[in-house]
Amino acid sequence: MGQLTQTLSRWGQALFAPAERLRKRYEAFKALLAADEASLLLVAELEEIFAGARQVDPARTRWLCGQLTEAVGEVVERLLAMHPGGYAGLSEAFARIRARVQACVQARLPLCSASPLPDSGGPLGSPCLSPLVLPLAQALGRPELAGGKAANLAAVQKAGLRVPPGLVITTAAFRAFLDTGRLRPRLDRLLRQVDLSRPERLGPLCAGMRALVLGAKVPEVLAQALREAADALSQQSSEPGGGLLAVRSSAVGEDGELSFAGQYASELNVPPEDIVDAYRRVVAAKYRTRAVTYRVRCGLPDDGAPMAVLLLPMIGAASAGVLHSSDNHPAQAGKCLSVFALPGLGEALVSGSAEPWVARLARRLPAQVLDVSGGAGVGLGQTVLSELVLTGLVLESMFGRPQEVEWALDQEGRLFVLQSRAHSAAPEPLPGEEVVRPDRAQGSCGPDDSGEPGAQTLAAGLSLVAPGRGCGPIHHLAAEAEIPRIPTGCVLAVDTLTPALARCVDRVAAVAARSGSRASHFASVAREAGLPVVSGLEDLRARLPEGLLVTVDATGGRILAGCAQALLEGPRRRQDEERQRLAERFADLARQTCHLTLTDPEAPDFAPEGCASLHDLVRFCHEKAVAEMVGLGQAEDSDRSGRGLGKARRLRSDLPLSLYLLDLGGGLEPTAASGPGRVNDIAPEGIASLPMQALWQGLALSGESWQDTGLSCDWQEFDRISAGIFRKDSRLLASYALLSADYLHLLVRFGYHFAVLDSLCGPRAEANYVAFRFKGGGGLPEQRRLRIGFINHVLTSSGFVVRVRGDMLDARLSRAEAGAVRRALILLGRLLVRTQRMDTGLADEGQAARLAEDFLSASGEAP
Amino acid sequence: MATIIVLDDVADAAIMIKRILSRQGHMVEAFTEEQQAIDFVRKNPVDLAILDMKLLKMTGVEVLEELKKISPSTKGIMLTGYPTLETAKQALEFGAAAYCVKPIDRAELESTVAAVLKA
Repeated sequence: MGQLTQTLSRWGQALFAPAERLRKRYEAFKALLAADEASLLLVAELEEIFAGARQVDPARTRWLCGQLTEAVGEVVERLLAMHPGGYAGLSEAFARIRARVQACVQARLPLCSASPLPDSGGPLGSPCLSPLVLPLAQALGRPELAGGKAANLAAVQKAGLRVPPGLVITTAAFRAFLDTGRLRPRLDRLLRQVDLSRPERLGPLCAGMRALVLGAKVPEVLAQALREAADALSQQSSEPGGGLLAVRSSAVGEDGELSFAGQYASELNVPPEDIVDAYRRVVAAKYRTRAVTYRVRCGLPDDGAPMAVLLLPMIGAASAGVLHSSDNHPAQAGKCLSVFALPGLGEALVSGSAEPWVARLARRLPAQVLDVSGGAGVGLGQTVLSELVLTGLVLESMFGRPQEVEWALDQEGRLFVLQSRAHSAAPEPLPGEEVVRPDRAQGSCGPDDSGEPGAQTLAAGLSLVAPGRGCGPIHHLAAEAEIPRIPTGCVLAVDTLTPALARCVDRVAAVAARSGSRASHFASVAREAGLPVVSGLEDLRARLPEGLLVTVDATGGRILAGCAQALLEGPRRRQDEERQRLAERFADLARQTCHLTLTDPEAPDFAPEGCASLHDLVRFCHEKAVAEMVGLGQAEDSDRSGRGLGKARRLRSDLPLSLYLLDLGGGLEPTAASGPGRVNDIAPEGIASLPMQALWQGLALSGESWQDTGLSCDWQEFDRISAGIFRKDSRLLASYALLSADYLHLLVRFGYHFAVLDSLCGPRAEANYVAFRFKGGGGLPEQRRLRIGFINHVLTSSGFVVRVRGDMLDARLSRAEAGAVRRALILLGRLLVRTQRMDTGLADEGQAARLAEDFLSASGEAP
Repeated sequence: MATIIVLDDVADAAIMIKRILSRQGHMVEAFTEEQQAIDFVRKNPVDLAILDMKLLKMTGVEVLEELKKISPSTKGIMLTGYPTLETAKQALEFGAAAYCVKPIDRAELESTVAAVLKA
């Protein structure tokens, strides 16, 4: 569009200097086209986001909505400039829709509405309204101030269970920290570039955000509060010289409906004098790649998940671990309670790097052990086990759902609860899901122990980490740094279940690990996402060669060779659920921004009052602007005669085509172009514009046959939904072309929208280009998609760079010599004719591809 | 097979438990009034009492204490919808054989009863 604007500007100066009013109007039109282009690009990106094709940070969605509002405002303003005093109600319609979009965007941030910091009155606000530090007990019921982890731990304390004495550095402190360093706008600039479909860019963006936080100054009043809090906790310790601290994340949203398990950071053994730096590091970890990915996947905006920090004294743990209050016992009916334990601190357990001691217990007191497995070095006595059972039962009852509890046992044998969050239960299997019948594996026909003929069991007896089944080729993860390059749809083979794997839960079909337990952070995330995970496969590399197609049956604890259609039901269901979730999340916003309801320019509601979305406004303004330019508006309103350029001339031909030409200079033969009083129609021979000549050859002289009225379908219905260009007599549905000797701008009108062709075809190959856009059209979504597929096939094969977003196709051929541009334009002329015929006919992709090949094999030269 | 009483102030809950355990071949009597349950134990040998913690006039632990005076060999399973440290401690101190949390699924109830009767 930049090139178009430049070109038009050049011609605009030369042409309309005598008629200042017309020149201004023409300038407004150019600007309107540019804003229209910008608007449609933004609409296309938003549509992709709303449809789940791209997962971006909510900061981007918000930013795009702001950009779109601005661009549409420009479109509206330019249309009003083209026709001062016209279009009553248009400004009001824009204001109405803009207000609704803003309300929508703001309503999507419910979690930060309780911001404790006043907007003005100093960076820290009033300390009594927004304390920087809270005793743990006061975090009860205040997750918006203390974060989820601290609020939960306060509830645990209230239930009478033992927790370490704690202090919470609140979200008010976090906001004060961001405000002091003016970090929010700088973070937002990076966040709005976050797009999960481009994982290679995530790392650098997140590193940039962490660098911002780590480089920012902690305001002195907060630093002071941190030091006082750290000293107070440290001095409660019996250690000589004071104890060390645990500094743990407690973000809003963490350990609530979403777990964020292992996505943020905790620092252990922090000396009190290092508290300020540790605080900064824990806050910075909010922008770890995995945490940002997780948050974006959940659709939570960054400022909806502010970071509080929980300070606890270190427990000198004899053993520590996790308990699940409600697990399915594999061998027995009914639920059980599982305890996972390791000697010392529990970090190796939740980071997935050690095999714990595991006990399954009956859900009653006194403790009754059902079975025990795994690691050595932990011996939990009957009293401790009973205490753990009671802890699980009490917390599950209090929170109203199964819990994952982190606990530690100190040297005196006292049990402390460190954290409690909801335990994502395994989804109920669908009827019939139990039947696993992988296809016969290639080259394998040996007997198998699964009892299923043809299925070769590669591994069995594996530990279930997260239930479900998935199928794909094996990919071995060489290093954590390789996570962004994990291929989509693979079965990932890893040594340990590190929390960093959370970044790829949407891209892999299943995970098989050498080690790692159900109690790891990654297991929580996988269960939430419905990703099947197994562990305990010692000789992983030998048994699962790279690229081998396998089926991971996590529920059955085994890996089978090959893949079966039936097994793909699970992942497909996940995708459907995801789509459903997105559709609900974005329904309102999509209605105000992208939905196009204004489709028929001849309908009575094709008016500002009929606009329901920003897209409707763009559609309305573009339609009216084009009408203004080619003077077609005159028919509707006799007062306006002469307002149009008045120079548009109708192309006369035998084709069922209503096309008006506007000469910008040298586009028409002098004899044809001049001569007042002549009939306004012009014959094709009068075209002097090189690109228009080439296009005309494709349209009229290439042997492509035009649709006539002898169709077997309902003509009126066909006409309503199909290309307006082909209707002879409706001036409102006409197409138009701006021409010069080496330039063509063509808008071919369709029922819904336009095909736009913009081309410069001169002696300088560097400046030449063809830009072609095809958007929407009538017909069923499937037909539109197939037609876009056909066009994509043809143009890609012909050297165009093609991009498809939603139902909009953009193709570009750049820096080509005039002969190549000419050939491309002939092809596009033919394509316009051919796709016109294709509106109702396409049945499937195979047919679209065959038709594209047929089309390409024809020469396009005159028969 | 054992003789079991169930005491819950919510009649439906008591009858549900009675139905499940009867199907296992036990003799089960369901009560909603504390005194009727205590009187039944006075007149009949009872192997197991399943007691809700929250009753109309007394607590389940108080009823357990009474029953143990009358029939020391009768075992008790305490049920509660609101587990707390205190009630769990109390129940075990007064000789409850098990302390379970409602809602309890059928398999858990059956295995708890079996484990307590076997002990």
